[in-house]
Amino acid sequence: MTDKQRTLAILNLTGELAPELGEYFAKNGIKVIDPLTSSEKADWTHILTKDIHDFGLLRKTYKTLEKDIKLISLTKVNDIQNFIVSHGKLIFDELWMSGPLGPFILDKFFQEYAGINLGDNYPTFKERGAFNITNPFNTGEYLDQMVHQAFTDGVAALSVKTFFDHLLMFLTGLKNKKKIGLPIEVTYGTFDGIFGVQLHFFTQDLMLEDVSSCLSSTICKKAEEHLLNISVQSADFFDFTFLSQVNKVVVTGLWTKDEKIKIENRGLMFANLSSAATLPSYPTEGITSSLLVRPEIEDMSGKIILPDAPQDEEVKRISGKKMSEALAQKISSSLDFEKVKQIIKGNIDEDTFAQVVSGSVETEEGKVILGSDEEMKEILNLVKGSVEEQKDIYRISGQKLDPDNFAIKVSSGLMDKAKDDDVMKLKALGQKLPESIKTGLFDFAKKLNKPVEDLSLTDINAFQNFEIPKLIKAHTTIIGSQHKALINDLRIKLDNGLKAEFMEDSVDKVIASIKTPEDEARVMELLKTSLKNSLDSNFHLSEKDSITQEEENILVKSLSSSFKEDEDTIRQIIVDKIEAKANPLFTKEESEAEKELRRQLAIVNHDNANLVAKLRTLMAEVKVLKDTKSSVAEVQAKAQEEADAQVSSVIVDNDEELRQHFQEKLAQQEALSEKDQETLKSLLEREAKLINEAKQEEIKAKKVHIESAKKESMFVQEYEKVNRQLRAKDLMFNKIKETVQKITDKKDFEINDLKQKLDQVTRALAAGPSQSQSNIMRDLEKQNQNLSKMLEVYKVKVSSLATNIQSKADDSTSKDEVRRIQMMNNQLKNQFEAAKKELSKFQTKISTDAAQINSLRAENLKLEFELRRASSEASQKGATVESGDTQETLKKITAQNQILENQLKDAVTKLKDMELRFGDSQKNQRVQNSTDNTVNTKINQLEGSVKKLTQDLIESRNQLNELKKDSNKLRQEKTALQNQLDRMKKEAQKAATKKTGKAA
Amino acid sequence: MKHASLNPIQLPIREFAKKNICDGHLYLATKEGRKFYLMKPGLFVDPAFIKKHAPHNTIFEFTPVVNEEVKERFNVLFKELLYLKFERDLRVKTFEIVSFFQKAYTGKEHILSFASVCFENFNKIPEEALLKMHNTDMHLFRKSLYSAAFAVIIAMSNDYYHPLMLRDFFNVTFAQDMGLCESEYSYYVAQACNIENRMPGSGKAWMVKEGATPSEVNVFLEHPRKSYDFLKQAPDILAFNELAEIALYQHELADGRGFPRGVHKGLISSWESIVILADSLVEIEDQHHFENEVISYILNFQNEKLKDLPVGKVYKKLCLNLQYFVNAKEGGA
Repeated sequence: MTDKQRTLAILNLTGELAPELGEYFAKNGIKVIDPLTSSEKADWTHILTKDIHDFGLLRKTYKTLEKDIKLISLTKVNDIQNFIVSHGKLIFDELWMSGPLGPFILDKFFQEYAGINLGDNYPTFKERGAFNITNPFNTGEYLDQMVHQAFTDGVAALSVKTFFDHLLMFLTGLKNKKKIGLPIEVTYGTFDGIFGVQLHFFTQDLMLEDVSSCLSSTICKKAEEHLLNISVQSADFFDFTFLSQVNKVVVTGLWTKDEKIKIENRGLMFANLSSAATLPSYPTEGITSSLLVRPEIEDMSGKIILPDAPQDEEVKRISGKKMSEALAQKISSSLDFEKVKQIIKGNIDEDTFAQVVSGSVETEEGKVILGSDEEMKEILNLVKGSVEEQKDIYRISGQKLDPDNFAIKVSSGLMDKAKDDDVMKLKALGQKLPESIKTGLFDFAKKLNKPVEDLSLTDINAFQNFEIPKLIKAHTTIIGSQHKALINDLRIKLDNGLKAEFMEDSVDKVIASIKTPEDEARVMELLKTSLKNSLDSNFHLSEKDSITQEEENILVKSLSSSFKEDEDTIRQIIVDKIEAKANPLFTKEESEAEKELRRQLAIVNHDNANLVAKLRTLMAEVKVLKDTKSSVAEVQAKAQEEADAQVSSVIVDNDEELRQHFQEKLAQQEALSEKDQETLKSLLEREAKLINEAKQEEIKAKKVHIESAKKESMFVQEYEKVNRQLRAKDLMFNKIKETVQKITDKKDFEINDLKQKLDQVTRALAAGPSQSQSNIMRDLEKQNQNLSKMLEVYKVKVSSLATNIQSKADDSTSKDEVRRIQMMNNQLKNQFEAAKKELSKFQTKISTDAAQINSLRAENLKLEFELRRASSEASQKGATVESGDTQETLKKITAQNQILENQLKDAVTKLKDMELRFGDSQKNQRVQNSTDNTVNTKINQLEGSVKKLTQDLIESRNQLNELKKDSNKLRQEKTALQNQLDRMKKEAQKAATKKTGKAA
Repeated sequence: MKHASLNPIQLPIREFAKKNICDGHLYLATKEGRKFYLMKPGLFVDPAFIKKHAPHNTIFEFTPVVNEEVKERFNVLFKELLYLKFERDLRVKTFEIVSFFQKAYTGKEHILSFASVCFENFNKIPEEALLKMHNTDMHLFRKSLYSAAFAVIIAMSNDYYHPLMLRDFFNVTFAQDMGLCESEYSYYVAQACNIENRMPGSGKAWMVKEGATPSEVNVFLEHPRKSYDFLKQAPDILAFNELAEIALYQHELADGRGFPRGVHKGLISSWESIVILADSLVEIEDQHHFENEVISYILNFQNEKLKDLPVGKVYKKLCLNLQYFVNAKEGGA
């Protein structure tokens, strides 16, 4: 334990500490004072806080910056910028203490040690990879490998990616400010379910503002301001440690698989370590090198699972094959468990069970469910028959109508008529019928503006024909056999499934055994599975892309009745689903023919709809006319009846009396009085009139009948016409449908084929060789780019050549020109070869000359030495020395010099010749622009050779100049020597003269 | 000596003047047939030497130690590396260089083939500075050249691929003893460097024991800082100026007993370890001329010495990479 650790004094503003944390402080001898329980004062080194969001107050109160009091928050900090600026150094949720890293993080923080290796900072990390960053914008592959490793280790790999990307860009910004230096060394590894990434780098003059300015919690357009914040928020624990001794910063991000650590429990540490304490030595396992380890990066796309979309959206985004599953999921998830229990309970109720078995179910609204229209007609006939019977009784008895009695008798009569199969349906219906009939009768009478007791037989007939069907319809609902099958199937599956799942022999016991949420989840799952299977087996939804209107209705009704859900809700689910299917996210391209067919289909559909509407109108008109006709006839008949009843009864009665009177008189052969004659006359007139009227009425009736027949035939004709049109349209529609179906099938086949191919390709891509293929592709792309560049260069060259050829095109054809240039090139090459040989000869000669010059020098030196010796001897002896040898030597030297000079002159001449020739050849070469690449290359080579030769020539010339200088020097020396020799000769002669004089 | 058995060639002074680094053994033959040994492989070709001999068109006897084919191959690989930009391409190329290094140096090949290519492609130290070092101690120069070359191959093996970064490693390693090139440089300083190299942490003690003057001791102890100052003051040498700091780490030890800062291994980064290892691989007065079996030399490096140096990780990676190629070769690759 260091001295610094012993003097730690922490002001605890959080109240009670978690036991693990308190234990840690106690174990490490760190004094923690709670101001509420103790008035002890100390030189605080740290302040523990919790749920504080304005740290400015603490900074001012405790002068945290001035006194170097570090703030520690045990809860999430909303404004990290504010926290850091207020000398906040650690955000550490007490939950971390339950994991393996908690005590270590605190050790690291309070004991202030750190290293640049992951294993130094965090214990026993097994290194999974390492790399160095020299170019922050060239890290793709390293990052891919690291993220791949994170995926493999099962941590939040995307958070790792976000952390790294943002941190690296933050560091790049610091690099631009010359606050940090490259390289950045990155190490990543795992330890006991924790994934760690560590970066370290040089830094200089890094200020708090450099860090805090990028911690803005507001996401703004300028990413630089929140880069570090995003990085911090992406890690479960973020550690930014400055090592002042070595001017390095170590940034570590940790991700834990511990589900207890959530966003609000994330940690942060900003440590400024002035002097590194002794670092505990932790073994680091493993060592990696990207040079050695170059694993192919597997596609981990499958690990990216986006969050669930909102419920409304869910169904719309599901592919066709999952339709039944989606419906099952949607419906089962919309039911709470209590409702499911009711469904299950309802399923085991004896009566309901009997209903299910018999195929009749009463809905929530009290409607009796019927299997089909036929079933409805059957029941309607039964009810009508029962009404007919009661009506006959009433007619026969002549009693006034008693609605209660009538309704009950109709209902009971109905029960008597029922066959065995219909018992349950009629039983259900029969319970409701009396009340309905009674109410219906009152309503009907009200319509006719009569008291119900005054309803006539005709009224009852009308009630029977028009109102009874309405009543029956109001109390029943028609569903198909599929519906029943679905419901039965679902209930059977659910029942059996529950029994099997909970290993009970009855559903009652099953319900009793459901006690835990897990059991409930099992039931819900079973419901979902049963529903899915039922939908699949009854509607084959998985195999369909769409369902018909009829199927939709059946589904809606079945599911609505099964799950006691509003029909609209169920319909919404199903319709949404179907719409989603009808409008896929990615539609295939339609051909023109398909478009045309679709357009025609739409027109036909539209016409069809119009015709149907027209037909409906006509039918309605016919119905109205029929009704009117019948009502008119009825009214007429009634009026006639009444008139007959009122008028004719009197007339008929009077005429009958008169007729009898006259018959009697005729029988007695009595004469008719005048009065009788008038009466008879009037009687006869009345009869004639009556006959006339009857005839006219008959004619009128015939006319009406004819008109009616005409109208009827006209309507029938119209009806038939419309029907024919409809049939024609239907035929067209069917044909178009068939064509479209064929095209669709064909397209579907093609799509499936393409899908299969795509799958194969995807599988192939997902398989191992994909990386190598991509590498090859990348290489090929690069080669392609290089070749493109080369092509560009050659294009430029060719264009320049073409320009040159164009300029020369006046003289001769290009082929001749090429041939001529080639010949010239060959000549030039030969010339160069010859020149080279001459040059090498010349160089050899120069070296020989140099050797000769050296020997001459040596001889000169020797001569000089001899001369000196001779002169000294001459001076010493004073004797005349005629040196014949010397003269000979001198002559020899002179001759040699002369030869040398000649050789030099020759060499210079040759050199000049060569220079001239090279100059000419260079000129020729420059003039002769080649027309093709080969010639150009050769010319380039020749130019290179010429340059080289020219350089060699220059060197040779320089050497020659040096030789000339040497030669001049030698000449001068020779002249000097000759002068000296002359002088010596003269002196010798003088000496000899003196000597002879003395002797004389 | 081994090289004497090789057939010498006649090398005119103008040909020799083209060389920056002497890549063979250079002799001067007298008329009488006596030979004077003028220059060892790895030494700097001093312009004064050329100036002295050029007027006489001296023709030397020269025994080359560099394999021109190997050198040319390294040269081509380095040129290709300098041309590349993308990380993956760079990595593949460095992989190729390390592979060829392993292949070339498993047999009898002089390290100079690689070192001279590194020098030609990477050297950014001004000529006067090189001359100063050369004039201070020719052996120091040669040692620095070889160390710098080793730094390049160690860096490549430790996932450094960027040509500029590799160039900086070469130059930092080359210049990290520039601080020794002072007037006080003496036998004691040179010997202390040797002792320190052989037994890390014992150089200063040896100097004190042997009676070196305080200024000599100071030269020895302060040379990392002076080398750092040299690199800082010559900004054109390094592409990443911050890497000058590496020069401060050359004599740091794993346990923190080193100088000048006494930094322990937990604070020493890989880029610093690379230079420390490269420096340790070559001794100033090393009789081993790296004429053959360089790979064997690296793989059998003294473990006792390594224990004290903070280079464990980078050395391990170097060996792993070299061993990888050895294994690949043995495995029929």
